[in-house]
Amino acid sequence: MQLANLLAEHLCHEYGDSGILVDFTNADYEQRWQQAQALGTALRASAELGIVDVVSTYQNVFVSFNPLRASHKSIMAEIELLIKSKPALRPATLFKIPIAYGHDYGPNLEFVASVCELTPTQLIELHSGQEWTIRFVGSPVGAPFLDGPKIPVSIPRLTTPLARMIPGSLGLSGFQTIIYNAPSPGGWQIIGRTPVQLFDLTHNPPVPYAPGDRVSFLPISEREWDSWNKPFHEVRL
Amino acid sequence: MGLMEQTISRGKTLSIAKIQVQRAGYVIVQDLGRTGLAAIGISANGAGDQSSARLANILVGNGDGDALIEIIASELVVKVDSDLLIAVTGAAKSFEIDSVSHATHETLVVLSGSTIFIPAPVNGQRTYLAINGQIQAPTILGSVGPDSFLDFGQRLIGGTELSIETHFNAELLGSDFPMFRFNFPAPNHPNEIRLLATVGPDVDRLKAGAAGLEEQFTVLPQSDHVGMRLSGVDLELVVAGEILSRGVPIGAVEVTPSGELIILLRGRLLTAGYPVVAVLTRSAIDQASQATPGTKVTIAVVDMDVAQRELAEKEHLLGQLSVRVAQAFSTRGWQQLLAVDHSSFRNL
Repeated sequence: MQLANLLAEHLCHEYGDSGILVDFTNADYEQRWQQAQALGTALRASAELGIVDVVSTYQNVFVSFNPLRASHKSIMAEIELLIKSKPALRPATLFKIPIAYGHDYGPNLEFVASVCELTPTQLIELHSGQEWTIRFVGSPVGAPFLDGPKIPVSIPRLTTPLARMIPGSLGLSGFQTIIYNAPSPGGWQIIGRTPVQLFDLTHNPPVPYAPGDRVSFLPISEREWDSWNKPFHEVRL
Repeated sequence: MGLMEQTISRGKTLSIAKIQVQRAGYVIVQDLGRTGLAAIGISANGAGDQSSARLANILVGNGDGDALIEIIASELVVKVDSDLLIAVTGAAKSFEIDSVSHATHETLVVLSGSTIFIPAPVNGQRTYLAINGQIQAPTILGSVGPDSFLDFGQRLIGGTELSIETHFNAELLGSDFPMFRFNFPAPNHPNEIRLLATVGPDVDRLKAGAAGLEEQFTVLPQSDHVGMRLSGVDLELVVAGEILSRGVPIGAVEVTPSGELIILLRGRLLTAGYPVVAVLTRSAIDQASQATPGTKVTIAVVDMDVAQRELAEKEHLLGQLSVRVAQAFSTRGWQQLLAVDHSSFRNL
């Protein structure tokens, strides 16, 4: 996929003594995201000396660099070069992820449904009835950050964040959804859980998906849990 | 010399030395952490006080990113079963070998059968023990460093035995007992600290601007390796739109909607959506990781060239020290103790 607007409008901020934050600013959300992801991919592949890591998200790219080998100036010059070099996103893959919604698996399902003025069943249909897009892969350990379906209202965060999420927990916040792959702290409303282990260090890469991939959620019942409870690469859908 | 399995490697004697942990508080096998793994959502982690960890390794001739022992706000007692070359840096002001007190921040020989006692620090909270050679410990994604999200890490408890592959042995001691005086300045960890930072992208959201950070804050007890929480003056924010989650650097100074300050440390999640009003300099991040609950903190926003000059000076000092260590070891005929990538600064 080629970018529609190659000379993307953007701002570069110094972000500490060894970091830069690129902020894409043009009017279209989808384009800002494509530009951020394309630049992220290009920077990761770049031979530019001194790039330590790249975090590309909805409309931003955070580049950290080794200050003994690079400078804000040299990295910004590389960014300008790459933005002009027509980076491409890889073709999308569709993943199906089974989810046990509600009950102990999704203690906040009823609350979120009531915020949306829906029944829990209607919320499950809305959440699982359409495809989501993976906007980026972040922490904790390979968490997919997704959006797509029209959630009626922006979902508030938990008033008190949880200290330890149960791995596999499916969170909703704002208009986004996420899966916590690890027992990290977290502040998103939990509406379900997947029995599939998405993060697997015995595989390279340890998560099967990448930004731009699509996901549909498959509602499963409690008694189906055990048959799905395995690493992602052993799951056949 | 104690029990050793000896092998011959490139004509030099390589031994497996052992240390036995007798008593340990919160003590872990550590290194500089995992970098470059944002694409799979892995946090950096690694030694909280990176310069003290690097310094300890440099003092014993290791690469600055080699595995070492991090002792957090507690003590460690180990018995050594082989002659070892060690250095202790970070928060502890002194430590004991067989009840004889020694200064930290120097290179020392410990004889087989000795007991090393590293006390809990009076000020600061992270002490590092480096040992010449390679500590044998499992790694994940290239690092021995603990990561609670990966459910990984090696904690030392009473009874733990650690192996170290080292070229150091009694034959290197010769007739005179080696003494080193590198006189590298040991940092202080006072109860009031001033952290240098550069301006963050959202500083305009602070009603008082960067000057608002010069107020005195207090480190809260719920601080950890993920973030330092500060209490004090509630900072007023300008009403502005939502910030979409984006990558956040270690050292980011965030303001929560209630006006509380959080400084992100090495275990941070990679993305967040709070305003970032400043970013600590690298050495200020090390200082922050040493600050105990109750420490008074002010944040001084300086120009980028001031921050970069400070960084260049600190790196210059560490680089100079590694050259002096290499010279001192070479003078004694200890070339084989020097790591090939001695002081590579690879994980910066």
